Parts: sequence; structure tokens; C-alpha cells
Amino acid sequence: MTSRNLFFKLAKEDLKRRVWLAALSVLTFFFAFPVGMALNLGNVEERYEMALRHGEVLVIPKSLAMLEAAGRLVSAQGNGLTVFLMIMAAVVCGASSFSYLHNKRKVDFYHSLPLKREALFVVSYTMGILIPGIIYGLCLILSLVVAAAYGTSIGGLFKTAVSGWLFHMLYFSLVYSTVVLAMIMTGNLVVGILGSSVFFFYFPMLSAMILAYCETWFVTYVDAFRDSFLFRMVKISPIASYIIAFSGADVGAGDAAAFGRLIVESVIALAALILVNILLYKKRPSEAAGKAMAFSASKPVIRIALAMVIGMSGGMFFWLLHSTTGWAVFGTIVGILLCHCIVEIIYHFDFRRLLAHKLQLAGCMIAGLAILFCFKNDWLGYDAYLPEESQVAEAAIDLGNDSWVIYSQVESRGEGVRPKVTTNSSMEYTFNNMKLTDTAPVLEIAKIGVEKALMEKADRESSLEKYDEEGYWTWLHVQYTLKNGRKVQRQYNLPLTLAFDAANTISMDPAYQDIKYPVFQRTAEDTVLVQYRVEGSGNLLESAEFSDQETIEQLLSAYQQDFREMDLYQRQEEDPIGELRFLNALEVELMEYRKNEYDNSVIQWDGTLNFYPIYPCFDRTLALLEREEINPEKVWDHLDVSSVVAERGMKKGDPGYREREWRSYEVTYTDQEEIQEILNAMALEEYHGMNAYTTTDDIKVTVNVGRGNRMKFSVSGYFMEDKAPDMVKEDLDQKLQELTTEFQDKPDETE
Amino acid sequence: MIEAVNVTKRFDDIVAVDHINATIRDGSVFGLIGTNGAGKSTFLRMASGVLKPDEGSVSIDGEEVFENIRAKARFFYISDEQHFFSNATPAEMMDYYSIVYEKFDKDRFHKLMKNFELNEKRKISTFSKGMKKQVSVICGVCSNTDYLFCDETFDGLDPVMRQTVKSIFANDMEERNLTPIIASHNLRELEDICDHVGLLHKGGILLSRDLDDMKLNIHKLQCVLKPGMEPGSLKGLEIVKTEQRGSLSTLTVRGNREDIEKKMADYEPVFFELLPLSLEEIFISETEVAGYDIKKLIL
Repeated sequence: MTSRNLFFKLAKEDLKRRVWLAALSVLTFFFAFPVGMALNLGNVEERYEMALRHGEVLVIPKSLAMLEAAGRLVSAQGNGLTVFLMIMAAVVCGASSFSYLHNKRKVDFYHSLPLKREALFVVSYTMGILIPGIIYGLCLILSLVVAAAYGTSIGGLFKTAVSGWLFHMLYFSLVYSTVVLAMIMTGNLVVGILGSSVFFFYFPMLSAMILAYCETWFVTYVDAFRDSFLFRMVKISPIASYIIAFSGADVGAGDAAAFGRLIVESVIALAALILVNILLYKKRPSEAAGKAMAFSASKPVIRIALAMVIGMSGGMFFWLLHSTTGWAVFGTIVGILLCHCIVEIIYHFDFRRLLAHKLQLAGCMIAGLAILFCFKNDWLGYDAYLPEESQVAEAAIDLGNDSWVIYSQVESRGEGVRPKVTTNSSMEYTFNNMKLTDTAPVLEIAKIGVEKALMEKADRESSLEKYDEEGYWTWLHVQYTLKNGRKVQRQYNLPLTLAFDAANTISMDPAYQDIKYPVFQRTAEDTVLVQYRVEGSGNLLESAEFSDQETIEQLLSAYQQDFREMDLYQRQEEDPIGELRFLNALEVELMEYRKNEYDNSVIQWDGTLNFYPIYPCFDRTLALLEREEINPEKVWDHLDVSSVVAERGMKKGDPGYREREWRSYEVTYTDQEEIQEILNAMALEEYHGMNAYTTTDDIKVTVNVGRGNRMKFSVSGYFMEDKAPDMVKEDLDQKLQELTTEFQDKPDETE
Repeated sequence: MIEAVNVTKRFDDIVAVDHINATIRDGSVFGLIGTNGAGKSTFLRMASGVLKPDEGSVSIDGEEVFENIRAKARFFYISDEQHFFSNATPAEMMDYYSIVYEKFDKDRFHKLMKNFELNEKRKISTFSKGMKKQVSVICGVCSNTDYLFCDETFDGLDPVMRQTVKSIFANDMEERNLTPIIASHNLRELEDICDHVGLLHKGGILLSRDLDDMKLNIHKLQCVLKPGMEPGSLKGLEIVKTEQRGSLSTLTVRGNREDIEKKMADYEPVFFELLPLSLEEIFISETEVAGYDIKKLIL
């Protein structure tokens, strides 16, 4: 009999024995896909019918909306339910395929047959994948038929469904192979399931514990998680890897190569797992059936590995409850002891063996405490680390200012499908892209950061006092790329005034600017729309759009020049007065989708895509806007400002001051001249917030636009330090005087 | 011919089979007898390639059994608790075995199932223990292998079925030189079928001989000696065991019949008679000699 014939015959027999699995798969996938498709498309239809009934105009045609809904259901990354179902199916299939290894009668039966163990493995292993795989595939096809019945064009959907099937089956196989590995390594189904859980969650848990230890005891530890060794450790877990691939968490903005790399890594991991499974299956002694563990050599490895992580968790748990060394030590020891005892009981199925291998237990406790103190007392000098300038090839620094910059990337997902937006954090984007070769100012700042960090470690109580220091306190993040290729990341908390010259040098470095502000990477060729706005307290005070290529080119060029030339000293002098946004075709398309989804025309001003500030010193930009009859400095001229309220918070010693309650006094202006004087001097609240380098007076301004019943909205603003008109200061001082007199006359009431 | 050379198997600290040497000739019935835990099942599981010996080897006509499908195709192993697929019928088991054993005789299977009055379409899980044993024996016989390994297979069969199975074995031995290897602790059921027995005790093989040789070489001697004589004064006789009831002595004596009779005649006893020992009595005698306290088990 040829081996191919034998395979098909044995596969057929295997299928007979696992009809229940096939039935379960049919039931699950049928409801998840064909039925799910009908429900989803029905919802879209209903939404469009409702819109029609209420006279709403939806931007996207119904056919495209249905196509997108159908695509989401069958695609690789659109349907979270598929991930859940696949993980569950992998566990059930893995356990059922190789559970016979845990039963002596079955092992005697199979292993006495004139069949190679490899043949038995291949049949069981393959059928465990084929049964759910084929049924999932058939249900996908059926769901496409349902989509076609709803009038959706399924030409493009078929490709999406195939890639979805391949994606989910890859990760199904990875999770399944892990469960199979656990089944082969154990001799009991329950222990096998527990073993699978260890493989699923051990590395994420270890990674989380190391992260928690670093964040708790290292002042300069920076959580550049997605790029770190810890994140790679998490990906060892097949479930974590699956979820990461599904959510695209590993993929940087628009980086299809990163996604491809992840898939290749997963395929290699799967191949390695299959190989390990075959080798272990062949080596697995038949007498292991019924025992907890099939391979004696794996027992101490797994026990010690588990005990260390549980010990770390115990230490951290008690540290969080009561931050003392004694409790952390107690938690570590108790965690290790409990884990050791439980694992020994499972290994021997005998409660009396809980304290077996006492020497190893003692070793684990010593190692656990060593790890605890290594982190807690920073034995390795993590926080004091500062490389020599000669060691550093290049650096990246995020000064922690300008948090309004959004690092988003819009990618096309095909015609008719909403473009995908990926957003990175400022630190992440900086670390991945910035390459400063002038490292001296970075190291100058870092040196101060290290000093501050060590001061904080020396006396954590002093951290309260340190904020009393003057200056722009900021959390800044630094990455050194050493000449040996190693990347080292740190964060520092310091007042930037201590190294303002260095910070300014960095901020004027084009290598810094190009990465810190993505507007510098934008070209006129890919920009199709420029939007201008002045916004206050969520109200659009003025807006304009420019779509002719010449204006776009001029505006972009002028803005880039103005912005590049502005240094930090200039920014200490003025706040922004308006904003500009430069959009490419995909971003405009995304805006249209958003308008449709939220049914809100204002959504075009949403915060996914970046607006950049216009400062009063941006002469070129302002001149161009002036040419288009726009002057952000005169935005109030077009608005009917009925009154302005100047308000000052009470300080200690003021009449009516209360310790735990913010109280204020105010003066209202209705005279147009006075109003104009105030409006000229004030900065809008949002724009003042965009600039970290100006300081604020203690007077808050509220501008009321509209009158009486036609009152439209209010806008908040501030005065920069020493920019408040004398009139306002005097009026507020007088108001305070009146309150003082009133308070002296009726102290009880004002109390 | 199956040959076990220096075969040893340990389970953690327990030595289940300890350096066993045995040869099983083709065409004979090999009885593997021994106390509980003597290592019979372990030996059979090694012989059938389920377990890998820690030391030594088990081979069939010079071919190592473990992970050798050619060698494994020559035997059918019926374990003490034979596995049947859940919800499977005998017909479905037949289908599976006929894939695995190329010479599986489906016609004979149907015939034997009918003769044994077993329903091929009924789920095996609804069968009694004895009926399951019958199904496994039928599957084993119909697989047409050279060897049939039976671990406690007769345990659970009623006497009629036991005789029927024995006659099937005898028939197959006659027709196609089948060699059944039967492990059992029930000596009575092996007595009338085995040609050769291997006596296992505490993992080691105590003896391995032809049954006839064994029976001819040990005897029960009942005698009434002359007044003043004790069984201990019967010099020249290899007495394994002595029982005394009044003046009647019952002795278990090694040696051939003629020698014992001649020596007894020299002592001129009042009465003596030589009786053959049952296999069970031989087993008890041999194990007692090896220090096995049979009474503890019996009581």
C-alpha cells in the first residue's frame, strides 16, 4: 500500500472518529460567517433605509458600504470574532488530536499497530487542521454567496476572503501546534491543558513582570514597548502573536513590510514547532500515558521557570499593597513556595510530595530575591547610565513638548474601502525615525536628567520639592544608537531651562525638525488640499480651504520656511494665532468617510490628521493668507462679541479664599473699545496650550459671541505673562478691594 | 522465532522487567505466567513494540521490533483492556484493522462473528467484558499475523468460549503455523494449551521450559513411611516442599518418575504413590523456592 493511499485511508478513519469535531465546526462557523454576513449586510441596508426615510444624505454609496461591511467580516484583520473562534478551535482540535497519548489503552493500541509513529502523527496532526480549516473555508464561500444575494459585488471580496483564510489558518496552526506540543509533553489531558496555558501566557506574564519591575524601580526606564526586547518576548506566545498580527500592533504606520515580516516569522515559528512536535512525538515514551509529564528532563525546567515568574508577581503584588522591602521579600518567597508546591503536587499527583526537591526550591528563592534586589537597588546601575559621546553613533530625542503633533499615516485598503489610519506615539515615531548625529546637546541634557534621576532615587520624597524649581518641566525621551549597533533608551524628568541652549540647538537641527514635525516631509506634489482654521473652545471662528496647486505650493513652502526658522526663544514670546493643515488625496478621502460615519459636517476638523500652528512671526505665511483676504489676527472683526469676562482665581489671603475650592472674582466688559483692547492682547486657550514655552498670567478671559437670545457661544483665552492690559489688572484689583471691604463688613457670609 | 535478549525495563525506580532472556519458537503456544506485577504485560508491551526496552532487545527472526513496521506487521497484540474506538461497531473495527493489516481476512471475520453470535453492527461499548474479549480475539485471528500476543485474554471468557478460542488457536496453528503468546496469571487456563511456559517472577524469568519437561521433572509424592522415619531422612530425593497430616506425608519432589520410584522403594515405605502436579502447583512450588510467600497472597 502506498503511503499516500494509507494516509487517505487513515485520514478517513480519523474523520469518522471525529465527526463531533466536524459538526461543532460547522455549527460555529456557519453562525459566524454566512449568518453573520446576512446580519451585517441587513444592518447596513437598514441604516440606509433609515437615512432615506429621514432625508439624510450619506456620502458613501450603499453598495460601497455593503462591500466594506462584507469585507470586514471575511478579511484577515477586520473581524475579532474569527480570532476568538480560531483560538478556541485550535485548543479543542489540539487536545482531541493527541489526547490518545494520555490513555494507556489507546497508546497500546496505536503503538502496537504496524504503522510508523510519524504516520500516526501526520494523520492526527493534519486532520486537526483540515477539519476546521475546510469547514471555515466552506463557510467563507457560503458567506460570499450570501453577500452576492444582498447584491454585493464579490469579485474583490474573494481575494480578501482567501487572504483572510490564509492569515487565520496560519495563526490557528500556530496555536494548534502549541497545544499539540503541550499534549505530547504531558501524560494527562488536564495537565496538557494547563501546559497549553503555560505556553500561551508564560512569556507575556514574564514580560509584564519585567516591565512592572523596571517601571517601579527604574526612574529613567522608558516604555518603548513596541520596539523592545520585552515586546519580542510577548510574541513568543502564539496567542499574543496572533492578536498582535490581527490588531496590527506590531506594524508601524503604513509599514506593510513589517506586517510581512511578522507573517514570515510566524511561518518559521510554525515550521519549527512542527519539527519539534515530530521529534518529541517520536521520542515520547509510551509509558508516559497517565503521568503528569512525559519527559522527566522538562519537569525542573518548567517548575523553576514558573516559580520565578510567580515569585516576581508575588513580590510586585505585595509591593503594590504595601511598598516596603519586607513585604516584597515576603511576596517573592511565598509566590515561589506556592508555585513550587502546586507544581510538585501536579507532577506526582500526590499532595505529600509538595516539598520535593527542596534544594531547587531554596535555589529558586535565592534567585527570586536576587532578582528583586537587582531591580530595587539598581545593582546594575541602570539609572546612572550615560554613554560617552565617542560611543554614540546617533541619537533621537523627544523633548516632550508640542504634544499636539499627531504621527498618523493613512494607507489605502483598496477602492471603496475606508483608508486605514495608523497612529504612533511621539516617542515611538521619534525613536524609529530620528537620527541626530550632533549628539553633544543630547548628552548635555541627558547628563542633567541623570543627575535629577539619581537625586529622585536617593530620596523619593524630594520629588515633590523638585517641581518647585523654575522652568519648563518636561518628560523627555532619549534613544542612543551606540556604535556597536545597540540601542539604549532612557527618559528623564527635568526643567528644560537648565539646558535651554542645548534644547534650542536640537530644535533648530533639521534632522530633529524633519521628524518632530511631519509637515516638513510633506511635498507640494502630494498635497491636494490646505485647510485653514481659527478655533476657540471647540468653536470654529474662521476657516478656509485652498485646493489650487499654486496656492498650495506657495503656502506649504512659506509655512515650512517660517516654521523652520523659529527657535525656542521666539516661542517664549508669542502664542499661535491660527492653524493650517496640508492633506494628501488619501487623507481627503478619509475625511469624506468620517463625515459619512459620524453624519457631521464639522468632522472634517477632527483630530486624526494634524493642524499646524501659525505664529505671529510667520511673515511669509501670513502674507500669503492676507493675499487670500485672511488675517487670523483680525478674526474677531467678523464676530459679534457682546461681552468679555476677565476672571482671576483667589489666592491665599484673599477674602473668601478656600483651601480646597477654586474661587474667583471677575469683571465683565461690554464696551467695544475695551473689548477690542482685551481681544488684541489675549491668546486663545487651545493655542496657548500648543506652546509650552510661554507663561500665563493668572487672568482667564471668556469671550461671549452673540447677544441675548442670539448668544452663540463662548470662547476661553489667557494673557501671556505681562501681556494683560493694565485696565483689566486695575479693574480686577479694584474688584478684589471691594470684596475685601465686603468681607470685613460681613465676614460670616463671605466665609 | 521471537527472541528476547537481556531485556530490561524500568519505570522510574521500579524495575519491571529485569534482564530477561527468552526464546519463543514458531508454531508452539508460549505461556507467559507469573504473579501480579511480575512483568508479563510489560514484557508483552515490549514484544509488541509499544515500549522501548531500556536495555536489551526483542526481535522477530532477527529484526528488532521497536519502530519496525515490517516486524510489527507479523503480530497482533491484544492488550488486557483492548481499545476500541468510541462508539465503534465490530464492523468498523474490522475496517480499520483491514487498512493496517494487509492480510486481514474479512470473510473469516464475518463468519466468526456469526459463529460467536456477535452482532457486527452493534456498538462495542454496549458489549459485555467477555464479548469485547471475543471481538478482540476474532480481530486478532483474522488479521492473519504469524504471532498473536494475548494479555490476560482468557480472563472474562466463559468456559465454553475459552474452549472455542483454544480450538481456533489450535486450528490456526495447524493450518498456518500461528504462534500464540499468552500471558496470564490463571494457570489452569494455560495448562491444556501451552507447549512452553515462561515463568516470570519479580521482573526476572524464573524458568522457561517445555510444559511436558516441567511436568515430568516435578512430582507429588504421597507416602506413609516406616515408623520412626521422617521425610527429612529420605536422602537422595530433592524435596521442594513437605506437608504432614498424621502419618501421611505429601512431598513435592524434583526428578524423573523412575528415579524417584526406585529411591522410594529402597526406603520400603508402608505406602507411596506418585501423582502428576498441576501447572498451578508447579508454579507455586517454583515461586516459593524463589522466596515468594504465596500464602500471603492466598490468605
